[in-house]
Amino acid sequence: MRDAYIIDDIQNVILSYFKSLSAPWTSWELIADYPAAERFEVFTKPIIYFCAPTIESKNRQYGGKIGYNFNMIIGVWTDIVTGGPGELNVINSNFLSVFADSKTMNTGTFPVTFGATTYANQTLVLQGVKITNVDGPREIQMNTDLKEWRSELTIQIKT
Amino acid sequence: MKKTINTFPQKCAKINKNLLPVISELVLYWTDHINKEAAKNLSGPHYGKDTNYRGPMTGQMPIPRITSMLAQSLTVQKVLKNGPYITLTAIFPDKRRAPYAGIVHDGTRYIRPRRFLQDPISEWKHAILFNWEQKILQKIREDGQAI
Repeated sequence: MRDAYIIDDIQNVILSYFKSLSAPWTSWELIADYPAAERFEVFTKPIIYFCAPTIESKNRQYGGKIGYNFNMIIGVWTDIVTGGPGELNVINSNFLSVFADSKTMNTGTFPVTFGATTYANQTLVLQGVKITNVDGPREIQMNTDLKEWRSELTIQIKT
Repeated sequence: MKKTINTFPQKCAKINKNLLPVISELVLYWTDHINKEAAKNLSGPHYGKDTNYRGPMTGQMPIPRITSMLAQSLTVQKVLKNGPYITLTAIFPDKRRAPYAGIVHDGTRYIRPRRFLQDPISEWKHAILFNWEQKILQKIREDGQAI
């Protein structure tokens, strides 16, 4: 990761990792940031959005480089056509399964693009991303009568 | 033969008794702090009804100005008590006053989320945990001195 682009790059690394996973991850649409309204005009797959990480605290060590603790919100969005609440539960279970098996997660290789350069065979550890905690998933009760189901989970990342 | 008196049970009893007020104090202090931070996050500049000036935060018609109704609707509830001491609290927007609170917090297809409660918690979580650790350890050390 590049120091001057660390927030964008963390988001990019996490997104690239999940995009590289095999089925059933390929049947879901993985996007960066909160989905724009136009995204729902073509809503054929459940949407999983990875928000930009926010800094929670810093880890300082004398003479060393500062590390950060980030919080990142990952949201899942389905409606009646794209699977409904059943699909939502399947996606959330898959997330928990990925985060629970840290050995597989940290050794899985994927390509990642920073700026104009693509780096092949990267891992989360190689990029300095350590996922230390997962909160959730928290179900979001829709207040409107749209037939949509949402949930969000927050992961903590240590760099 | 040298006799020693085991004071460990007395120390434990003393710590158990004296830790509750500290925990209660910490819970109330940080609840108040998070509540203030969340309200601060929702309050913006206020302009009178008749002023022509519209700031960047005042929004467009039909929302001419920030009413702070959502900030005022934030409610603190004391959930769990142990004797006179409060050990668990909850902060939530009162839906009778601001029924749109969930929409503002979590967003919809057309509204981006404004996480007025989640943001201060994630911002202050590290400080809260550190403060809790320090205060509780300090109390245990004080009470763990020789009786």
